[in-house]
Amino acid sequence: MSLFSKPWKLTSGFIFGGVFVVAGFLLQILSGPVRWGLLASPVNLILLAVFIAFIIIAYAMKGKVAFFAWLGSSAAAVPSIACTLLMTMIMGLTAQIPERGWLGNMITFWPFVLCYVWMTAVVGLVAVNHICRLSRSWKEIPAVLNHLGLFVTLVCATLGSADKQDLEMMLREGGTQTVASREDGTTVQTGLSVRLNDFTMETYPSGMPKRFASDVVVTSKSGKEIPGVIEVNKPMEVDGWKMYQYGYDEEAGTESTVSILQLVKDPWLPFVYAGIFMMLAGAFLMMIVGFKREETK
Amino acid sequence: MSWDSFIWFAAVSVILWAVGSILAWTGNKRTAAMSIYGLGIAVFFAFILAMWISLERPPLRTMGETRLWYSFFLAVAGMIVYSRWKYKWILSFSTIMALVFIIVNLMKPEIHSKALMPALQSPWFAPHVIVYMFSYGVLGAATLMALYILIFKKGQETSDDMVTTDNLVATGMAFLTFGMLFGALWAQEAWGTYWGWDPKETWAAITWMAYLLYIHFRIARPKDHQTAMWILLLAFICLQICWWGINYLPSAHATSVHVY
Repeated sequence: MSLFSKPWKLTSGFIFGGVFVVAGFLLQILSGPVRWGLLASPVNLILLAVFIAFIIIAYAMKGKVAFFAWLGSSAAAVPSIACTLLMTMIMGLTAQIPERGWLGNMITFWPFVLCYVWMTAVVGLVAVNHICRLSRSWKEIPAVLNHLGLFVTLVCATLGSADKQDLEMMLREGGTQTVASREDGTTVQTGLSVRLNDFTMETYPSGMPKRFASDVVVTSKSGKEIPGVIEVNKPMEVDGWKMYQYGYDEEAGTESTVSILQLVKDPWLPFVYAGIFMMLAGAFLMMIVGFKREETK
Repeated sequence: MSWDSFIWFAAVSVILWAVGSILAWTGNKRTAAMSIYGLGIAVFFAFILAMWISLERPPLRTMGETRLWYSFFLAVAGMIVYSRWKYKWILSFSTIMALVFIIVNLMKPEIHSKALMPALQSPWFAPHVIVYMFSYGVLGAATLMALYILIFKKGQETSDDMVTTDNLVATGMAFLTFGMLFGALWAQEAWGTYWGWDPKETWAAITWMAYLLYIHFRIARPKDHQTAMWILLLAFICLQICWWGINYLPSAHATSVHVY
């Protein structure tokens, strides 16, 4: 199993996966859990450039380095999916409560993260393989969309997470608000000015909530006044902020004069969406074409 | 239409499905088998439609309501496989599987009120759940193929059997992808987060990756049918945990918004 010459197969992939998981454990012990906050721009942009450069170099050198040839093949796909599946199963079987230690916080657990990175590298390399074969056959299109879509979604969702702003803004009927608070309690000037005219809550006869709505006027940075109604499932967008109906004064119930909005700004979201739509198109084509292949006996 | 009439619609459907299945076994009467089986599907769907109208919302909210769609799509998936690949046993098996879920619904009717909490009042709601139920139905048929190959064929499976299984998985996987991504797009509209590692989402990812593993294993080791079929059975277990098993997982109860 030399890096350069001997062909890498399925079994060596599982050994590779095992080594990866052990390396993850060591990293966890030595450096502590993954600190996603450190990825904030520009670190994520640099990592993106490095990752893409690695994939292109791996593609270019796959004729010389057996390891790179393997990394873009189904023999690497199988163990990388299996290891990632196993890690995600551990996550699904353990309550995700950070106080409970490593397994209670899988998204910061190095072996979990490394398996995802490995699978993402494989899917990226496979995407490049299919893209380069596009000129020879249009039949590559579903595979390009599936692999490239998953690659773009995973990479942008992960690297973009640190740039996402997710704030809560508390409004009182008749009052105007400009600041919102982070999860840790610190406050941020949003650049918006939001006035709550009215908060409405309707219930079913059983008392179960039926509809919450905030009637607001939002003044944008440029001073433009935009009236609107924000409801669950019906957010409003001003200056790149998506504003969601989030909560109300639960003790007052239907009489609540307080409305809590969630303000989200995620600069990487358009790219995640691009990835998602590629996957949807890829899945649609796969449904039509199937993946039938001739069996060789 | 109320849930009380379900037993009558279900009885008529199951009888029609049974007659269709018997005709399929005897061979030579494919058109008759398919017409009668299709009529059973139509009767069953009529009940779903009537429920939809009387509830004034799509019947997709409770576990009982999703089982209704599952029985329906199992029958549909069985019929598609029968019309394309002519397995004479498939109609009987999809009937039995649909019947299991009908019986569960009769024994354990759940509250089917009109109430729909605000988070579920979305245009994404119906496509998200219907697409998932169709996928579960097709993947249920793929599981039947896996059992058939493992138990009855024992290494004697034809290349046609494998092509059928692969195509069922490809179709099921496409719809699984639609369901998962529609869910992500919906969550983004409702909560501003397309993916939050909620236990239901985690298990949806696990299920999706398990079928992904099957697809890639078939490419990497096309001749190892045994292992492939075992992966398919494992994937189906993940699917069941994702769908309803999660309600019994202590890990999910602590944190999920999807437990209902």
